[in-house]
Amino acid sequence: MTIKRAVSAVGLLLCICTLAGCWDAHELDTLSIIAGLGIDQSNTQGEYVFSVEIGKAQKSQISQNKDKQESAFLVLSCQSRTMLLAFEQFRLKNSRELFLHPNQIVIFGKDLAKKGLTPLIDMLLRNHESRLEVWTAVADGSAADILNTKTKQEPITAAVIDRLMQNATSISNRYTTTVYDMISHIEDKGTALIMPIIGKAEEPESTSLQISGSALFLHDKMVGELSADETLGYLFATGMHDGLLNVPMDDGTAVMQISYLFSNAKPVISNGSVSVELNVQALLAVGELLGFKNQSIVDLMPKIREAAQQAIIEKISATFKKAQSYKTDIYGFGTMIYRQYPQQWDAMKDNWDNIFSQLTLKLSVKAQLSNTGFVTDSIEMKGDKP
Amino acid sequence: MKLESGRISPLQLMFSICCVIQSSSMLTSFFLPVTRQDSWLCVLFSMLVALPLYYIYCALAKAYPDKNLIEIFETVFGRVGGMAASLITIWFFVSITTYNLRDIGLFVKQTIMVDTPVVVIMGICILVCAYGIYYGLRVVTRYAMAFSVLAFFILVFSSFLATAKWDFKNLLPMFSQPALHYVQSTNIALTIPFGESVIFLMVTPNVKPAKKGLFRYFIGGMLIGGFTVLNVLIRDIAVLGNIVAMLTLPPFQTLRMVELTRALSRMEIIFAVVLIILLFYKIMMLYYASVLAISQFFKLKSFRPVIPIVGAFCTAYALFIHSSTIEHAVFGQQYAPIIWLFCEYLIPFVTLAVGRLRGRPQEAGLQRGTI
Repeated sequence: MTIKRAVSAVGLLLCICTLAGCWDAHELDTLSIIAGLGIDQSNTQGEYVFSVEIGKAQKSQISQNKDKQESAFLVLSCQSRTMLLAFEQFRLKNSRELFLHPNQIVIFGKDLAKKGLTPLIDMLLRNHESRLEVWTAVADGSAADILNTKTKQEPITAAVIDRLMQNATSISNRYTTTVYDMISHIEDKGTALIMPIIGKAEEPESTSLQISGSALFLHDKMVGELSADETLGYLFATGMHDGLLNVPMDDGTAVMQISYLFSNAKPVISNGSVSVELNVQALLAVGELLGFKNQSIVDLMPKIREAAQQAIIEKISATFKKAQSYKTDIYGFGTMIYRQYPQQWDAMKDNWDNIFSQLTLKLSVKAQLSNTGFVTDSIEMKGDKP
Repeated sequence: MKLESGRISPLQLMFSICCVIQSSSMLTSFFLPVTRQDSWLCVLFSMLVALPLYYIYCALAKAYPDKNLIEIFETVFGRVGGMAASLITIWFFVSITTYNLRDIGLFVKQTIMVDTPVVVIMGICILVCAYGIYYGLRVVTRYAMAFSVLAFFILVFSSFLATAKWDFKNLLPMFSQPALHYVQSTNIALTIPFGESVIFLMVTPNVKPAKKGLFRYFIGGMLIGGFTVLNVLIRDIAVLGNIVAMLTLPPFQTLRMVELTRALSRMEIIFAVVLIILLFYKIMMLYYASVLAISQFFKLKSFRPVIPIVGAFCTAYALFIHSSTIEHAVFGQQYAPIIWLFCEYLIPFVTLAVGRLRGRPQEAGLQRGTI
């Protein structure tokens, strides 16, 4: 019995020694946690500038007050041919081990985005510390510059961008992109990549970051941009769960809240020509009314509905024309054709960019007004008081 | 003299089969590059093709109720023929034990313990398996039901967590690929999870008699296991879309993308834990079948002395069997489905056919009764 117990005790001790995974131990005080990764085009042919934003370990409150000027993050940069070689360089010039797993964003410089992203995606897909759900964006300028921006919003820049992306995603999933979306769209001949552009907004006493529009990609190269307003036209065509619609009218302005906006696209191939029927249904609520003096809400509602429908049509059409001019099928009509008509798609997939630029869009928009908020007529609408 | 005296219930057999099939959720990357978004159809087809396969296994078990596969070979083919069939089968059992040991080693190394030498992971796994096998079949199969039910619910629950990212349009278009691709994928899905159930012919003599035969238990195990794999596969295709075929571990990547609010994310660890449990069970079962087959072949009095030899051999073999994961994947995709088919389908079929032709009505299952 005693021998059995001794053997069990030795066995348990062996388990403790061998099963603890000591080889893979990562102590927090030995790690540099990467919050954001930026990649820019280098002046040297075939090389890139990689920048990593590392969150610094927080000091105690007292010492923080002493060093108010000290930044909460550190940006390291180096020039290299590939991402992994860059990480090896960082390893030699940083006292702590780089830890990519908690990374929030991969941001590409605009010049680099114009030259193509394909050479850079391999490690993002292959490395065990890289994750597919990390946000991706194009910097309005250089990625390193964006990562180096000190904002008052959050102490760490990547956290600011993360919040911006979350806010944009609450408007529509199509507003933002992740590493997964980027790779999936670059791989897909039937859907072009669209990525948010992150820019700086200079304010009197501080600098903040903002999503200033969207970058349009043909395959893996950025070929054009959509402004924030044009991006809205793209979102109207692809569906939204939140957001605002500004409806300017002759005698006032209505700002409508989008309760939901559902779009359904159906590609039609007849006699060799391709068209897409796009039906949009929106449920809107009155968010704000300006003007409309001496009008009653009952008479105004049908007019607002008409104007809202017209505003959606105009925005969708303007963005669609711009996407066509760049031959970038950001809507994924090609993928829809592949799924619905796989045999016909085989014949057109290599020429899809040109076919998309000639495609006819049959657009139908139906809007419904659900409510007017806590009031019906605005004070301005009531006109002169008795 | 019987090597194994312990007896298990038909239900334990069913859940053991189920566990072995469920553990193949990781190996979907063998056929995903071939049939991409239609791969789930091939799993369905392979489940259909597995029906006659399981009929053969059950007919053999019914015809030779007191004999394991190695003894059946000797009875049907005689001494020389039996030895040849036994040697091929032993090689097959040891090979699949080795491949699965390599799978668990590489999986853990690739995803959780990156810096740990793979030999340590495989060594610990084989040690725990050896400890279980030492106490016999009843201990080996004791946790089958708990493991398979746990795996089923966790994998289904994880699919539910991923619903926000499901896009069923990713399953389209259907049947748009060459017919030969479907045949190849169906064959891979048939041989790698379903056909491996041939190992259970080593334990059928130790299964308590079932009133309505073993066939329903084989099918029950196949259905629960098969639908778990199907659920994982459909979820992965629906979530990962066109990049699913590029990835080596699609289920792991799918769960990496799941985010239930910002606080509750990194669900991949759930899959890792379930997969390690299932693969551990599968390796233990395969290891047990290999040990039993070798002991039977050499007519040993006990299978226990063989345990460390087979364990050490499999660990060493797993280290050197392929020089890279690419070689491993190519073998799994192109060669294993052909070679395994021979061991899983052809040999049992020929054994049953020869047994019946030799006219042993009592032994060849020609009696009226339920398979």
